[in-house]
Amino acid sequence: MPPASQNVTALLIDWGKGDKAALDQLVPLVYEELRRQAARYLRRERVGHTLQTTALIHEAYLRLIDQRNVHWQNRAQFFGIAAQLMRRILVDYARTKKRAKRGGSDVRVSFTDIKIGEKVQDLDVVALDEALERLAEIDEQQSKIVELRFFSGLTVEETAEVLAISPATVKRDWSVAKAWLHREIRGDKQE
Amino acid sequence: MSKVSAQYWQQVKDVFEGALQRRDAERSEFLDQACAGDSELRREVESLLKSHEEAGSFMEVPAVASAAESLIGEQNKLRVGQVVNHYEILAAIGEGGMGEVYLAKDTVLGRRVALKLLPEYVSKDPDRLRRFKQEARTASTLSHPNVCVVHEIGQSDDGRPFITMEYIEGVTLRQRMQDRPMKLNEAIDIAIQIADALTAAHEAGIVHRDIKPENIIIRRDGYLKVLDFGLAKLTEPTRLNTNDSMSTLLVHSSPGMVMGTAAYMSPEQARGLPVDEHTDIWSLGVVLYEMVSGQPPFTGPTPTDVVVAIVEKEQKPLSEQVEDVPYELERIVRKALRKDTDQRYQIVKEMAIDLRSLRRDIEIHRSVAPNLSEHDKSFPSRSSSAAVATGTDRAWDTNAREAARATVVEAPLVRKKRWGTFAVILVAGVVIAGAGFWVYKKFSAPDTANPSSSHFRKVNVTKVTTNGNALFASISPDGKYVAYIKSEGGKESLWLRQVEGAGHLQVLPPIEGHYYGLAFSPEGNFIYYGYSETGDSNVSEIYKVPVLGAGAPPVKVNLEDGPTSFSHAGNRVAFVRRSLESRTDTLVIANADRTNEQNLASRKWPDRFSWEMSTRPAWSEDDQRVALPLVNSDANGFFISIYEMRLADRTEKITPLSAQHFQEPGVISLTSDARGVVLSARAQGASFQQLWYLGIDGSARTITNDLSDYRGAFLTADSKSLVSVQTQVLSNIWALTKGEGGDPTQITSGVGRYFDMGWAPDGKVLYASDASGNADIYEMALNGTGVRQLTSGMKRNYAPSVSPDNRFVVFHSNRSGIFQIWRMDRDGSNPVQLTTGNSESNWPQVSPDGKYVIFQHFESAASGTLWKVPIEGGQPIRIAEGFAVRPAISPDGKWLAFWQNDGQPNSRWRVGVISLEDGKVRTFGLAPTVPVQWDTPLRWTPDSQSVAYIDSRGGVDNIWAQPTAGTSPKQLTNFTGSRIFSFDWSREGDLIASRGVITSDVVLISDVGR
Repeated sequence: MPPASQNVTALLIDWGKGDKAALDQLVPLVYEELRRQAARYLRRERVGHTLQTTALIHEAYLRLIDQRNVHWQNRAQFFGIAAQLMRRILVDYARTKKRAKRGGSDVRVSFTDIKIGEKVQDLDVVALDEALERLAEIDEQQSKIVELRFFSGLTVEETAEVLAISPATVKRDWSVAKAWLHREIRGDKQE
Repeated sequence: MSKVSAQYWQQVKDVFEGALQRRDAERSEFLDQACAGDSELRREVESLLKSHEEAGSFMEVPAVASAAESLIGEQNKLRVGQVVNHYEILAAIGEGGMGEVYLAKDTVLGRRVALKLLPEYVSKDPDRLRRFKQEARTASTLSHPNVCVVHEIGQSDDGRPFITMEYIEGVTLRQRMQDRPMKLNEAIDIAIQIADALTAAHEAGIVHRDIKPENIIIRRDGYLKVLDFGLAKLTEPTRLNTNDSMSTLLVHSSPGMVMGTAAYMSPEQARGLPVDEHTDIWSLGVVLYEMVSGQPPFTGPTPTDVVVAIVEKEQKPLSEQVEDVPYELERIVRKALRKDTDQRYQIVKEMAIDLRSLRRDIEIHRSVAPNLSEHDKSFPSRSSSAAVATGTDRAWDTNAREAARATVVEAPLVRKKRWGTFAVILVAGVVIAGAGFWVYKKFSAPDTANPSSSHFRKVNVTKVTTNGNALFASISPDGKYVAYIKSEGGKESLWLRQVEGAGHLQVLPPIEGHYYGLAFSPEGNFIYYGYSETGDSNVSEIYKVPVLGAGAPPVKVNLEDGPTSFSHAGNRVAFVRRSLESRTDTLVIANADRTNEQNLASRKWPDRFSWEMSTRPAWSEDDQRVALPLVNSDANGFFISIYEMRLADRTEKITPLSAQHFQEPGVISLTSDARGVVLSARAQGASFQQLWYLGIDGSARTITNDLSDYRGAFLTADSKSLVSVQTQVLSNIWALTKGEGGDPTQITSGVGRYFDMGWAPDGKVLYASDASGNADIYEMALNGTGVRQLTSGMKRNYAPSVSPDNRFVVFHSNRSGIFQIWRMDRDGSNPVQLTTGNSESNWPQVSPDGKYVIFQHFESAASGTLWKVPIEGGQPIRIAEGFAVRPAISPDGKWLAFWQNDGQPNSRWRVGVISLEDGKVRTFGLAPTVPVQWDTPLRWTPDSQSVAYIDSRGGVDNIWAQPTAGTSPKQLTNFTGSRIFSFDWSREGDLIASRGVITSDVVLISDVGR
C-alpha cells in the first residue's frame, strides 16, 4: 500500500474522531491526488475527450484510501472534501478565465478551438458559487447536495449515502435548489 | 435576499414540492390552499416554479468534467519571452483543443511563426509522429495558396512536442461567422477555396480529417488558408486493427466521454470507422450548411446527441432554415451530406466544380447580395428585388421563378421521400451524461398509405449467425447492429455483429453464468441483459454494457424500471416500473431528470404492461399520449391489447388486438406507428413458437410458419426489420441393445423433434414427435418399422407411459385447454381426461402395479408438486411435500425419483428419491455438469438400483446413474456428440434415447412490402 494511502486513511479517521488539524493536512493530499488523476486522465484520453465525470474522484478515493480500515462515514467525509475542493478548483479556474477575458488580447489571429465540454456547461461558475454561498445560509444541506451532485458529479444515490439522507430527499432538495439557484443566477444577469 | 428562517424555508420547499406533483390545472387551487393567504409565500413558490420550468438543462451536466483541465491547465503553458529551441514566444494567440497556440519568432530565420504545443502523448508514439511529419511535409510542398505551410514538427528540450507553421493574419471562419451574417456568394466562395485546398491535398493522398470553421483562417485580402492538414491523424484514437471496422468503433468513444467538435464529424468518423477523402467532403458540406443557415445541420444539447444525429438523422433542408435558397445549393449540400459514402460526392473536385457553376449562375442573375443568417433570414423577396427592376433583376426574377417552378415540380417527390423515412423512424436522441440515457420513440398519426396491417406481410429472412449456438439476440434501433448471446462449451458470451458487415465482435467474454434476455437501449448505445450467476432466471439481474466502449465493465441497473422513452420535446420520460414484491407493473412518467414521478396506471400481475424488460412505452407525436402493449390472460392463455393514456385527462384507451390467445409470449414490440405489435409466441394449441403480427384492425398473422421456434421479436426503430432467434431441433431415436454393448443404432430418420419415450410391454417404443408439424404420440418397433400414429388432430400430446398390462397409454395433452393428464387405450382410442383444474398437470407415469398414475402438478406457475390419480379415474391425491417435478417410478415399484428443489432462490436442483414403502426421502446433489432443469427426464436403471439422468460434462450428453445406495454416479453411455432429449429402458434392459442437435441462430427478418 502506498504511504499516501495509509496517511490519508489515518487522517480521515482522526478527523472523523474530531481532530480538526487532520483536515488541514488532508486537503493538500487530496488536492494533489485529484490533480494527478486529472492530469493522468487528460493524457490518457485523446484529444477532444474529456474525462468521465465521476471517475476522477472515485479513482482518487480508491488510490488514497485504504478501504479495509475505513468506515463508511470516512468515505462520506472524503467525498465531502473532494467535492469542496472540486468546487474551489473550478471557481478559481473560472475566475482566472474571466480575468483573462476582461484583459483581452487584441491579437487578431486566433486558432481557437471550441471545446464542446465548455459549451455544454455554458454556465457562470463564479455566479453559481456566489449563489451557492447564499443558499448555504438558508439551507446548508441543499448547498452540500449541489456541491456533491454538480461539482463532484455524484449520483443521487451516492449523494444520499454521503449525506446519510434518503435518495428521495436528495431528489427533492436538488430540484428545489436548482430552481432557486437558477433564479438567483438569472437575476444576477438581469441586474 | 433577506435572511430566511428555517421554518419558512421548509414551508417553501413543501409547497413547491406539492405544487410540482400536481398538474397545472390543479396547481392554482393547491397554492390557494397551501399558502392560505400568505402572499409572500405564494410569490416565492410561484417564482421558484417559474424558475424550475425555465431551468431546462441547468446544472444537469456535472462541472467536474472541466475540473481536470483546470487542474493541469497551468502545466501546459508557455510564457511570453520563453524560448523553445530556436523560437521565442511573443504572445499567446489562442487555445487549441490540443494545447496553446503562440505567436513566436524564429530566431534563426527571423520570421514570425505560429507555434502550437501538442499533447505530450504524441511524442510517445514515434511511428505516428513520423507518419504525421511525412504528411505535413507533403502538404507543405503542395504550396497551394489555400494550404497553411507547416515549418517544423519538433520537440522542445524538455521533451514537449510542438509544431510551427506559417503565421497568418486573419480571423478564423468561426469568428467570421460570429461577427456578422454571411452573404450567399461569400459562403460559396469560401467553400470553393476549401474545396480547392482539399482537392490539392487529396490528389497528394492526404486527408485532412478535421475540417471545421476553427481550422479555416480568412486573411484580410479574402484569401483563405486551411490549417492542420493531417494533424487529426496524429491525435485521433489508435485503431486496434484497421482491418476490422468493428474494433475501431469500440475504441473511439466511451460512455461519459465528451467528444470534441462533434458537429463536423462524418458518420463514418462518428462510428469510428476508417476514414478517407469522403470524410472531408462531408465536413465541408457541414461547414457550407452552417455558413448558409447559421448553424450546423446536426446539433444537440450534448456531443452524444450530435453524434447520434449525424449517424441517424437527416438534416433539415436549407430551404426550411433560410428563405430562397437556390435549389442547386440545396442539392450540393445534400450530396455532400449523404450518410453513405458511395452516394456522397466521390471526389471533392466534383463538388468544387458544382460550387463554381453555382457561383457563376448567381453572379449572372444577382444584383442584390442576399444576406444569410439566423438573425436576418429575409433574403430579398422576389417582389422587393423586382421593385429594383433592373434588367438583371428581371433575369434573376425569371430565373427564380423557374427555379421555384422546378422546386414545385420536384418538391413533392423530395418531401414525400423524406417523409417516407421520417414518419416511421423512431427518432432517437441520446444524452450520455452522468446517468441519463434517453430516447424518444415516435409514433405517427395513422398513415393511410401505410396501413398497419402491411407490416411484415412479405419478408426476407437472413441468418445473422450460423454456428447454431445463439441464445438471445436483439437489434439496434437503427438496424445496424445485432447483439447476441452464444453458448459454447457450456460458457456464454455476448457478441455484436454489424448487419452490413462480416465482423463478429465479442463484447463480453465467455463466462459460467447464464444470460436471460438481451435488448438495446433505445438510442442504441447500450446493450441491456439479464444475467444470473447460478442459472436461476428468477434471480437474474439486469446489467448494461456500452456498445461503444471496449472493455467497459457492465453496470448493474435498477431491476424495477424498464427502459425509458423520452417525449419528443425531450422534457419527460415514460417507463414501466415492475415491482417483484407487489407483483405490479406501473406506467410512470417523470421529468427528464427523473424528478416529479407520476404513476399513470398500474396492472397487477398476471396482467402486464408489455412483457419483458425491453419493452418501452411510446409517445405520440404531440406528446399528449403514451402507449404500450398490455398483456392479459385467461385460462386459454395470454392475449394482447394496445394500451394508451391521454395525459391531459388521464383517460385510458384500451384497444384489444386479435382474440388469438398465446402461450409463452416473448418480447412484444410495438410498431413505430403504434398500430400493432410483433411478438414471438406459441399460439394456443400450436407446437411451435412463431412470430406474429397483431394489428389494431384486428388482424393476426404469422410472420413465420415453419417447424422451428422463434424467441424474441425485436424491432428496429422504423419497424422494417426484426431480429429473433430461430431454434430448430433435429433429433432421432437411437437404440442400445443390452448385451451387444457396441455402437448405438439410429432407428428413425426423421426431420423434426422426437420427445419423450416409453416402452410398451409388447416391446414397442412409444414416443411423442412433432416431425409432422404437430406434437402427437406414435409407436414403432425397435428396428424403426411399423410406425403408427396414436393421437391425431387433438392439439399437442406428449409423454406416453404404458400400463404394465398393456391396456392403457397415459400422456399429457392440452386438448382441453391447458395440459392435463389423459388416458387412452393402447391403440389410441377412448381418450379419457384424468385431471382437471386451472393449472397444468404433466409427465404421467403408470405405477408398476398398474393402478395409479403419478404425475406432476403445478399448483401455481412456480410450484411443482407430485400427485397420484387412479388410472380408472378418481380424485387425485398429493403424494409428496415440497417442490418436485418429473416423477419416475422404479421398475420394482419401491422407489419414486424426482427433481427436487427447496424453492428458494439460488437453490440447486437435486435428485430426490422417496421410498414408497416407508416414505423416507433421500436427496442426491449431482455434478454441476448435469443440466439440472426440470424439463430433463429421470429414469430408473432396469435393476431399480440407480436413478439415471443426463450429464453433459465435456459438452457431450451421456446418461449417468446415481445409485440409491449413495455411492458415486456411474457413466452408462459413451456417446461422443449430440444432445440427449429423452431416454428409457425396456424391462429387458434395452436402452432407447432421443438424440440430436439443437441449432439456434439469429435471424434478421426484413419487411419487403406487400
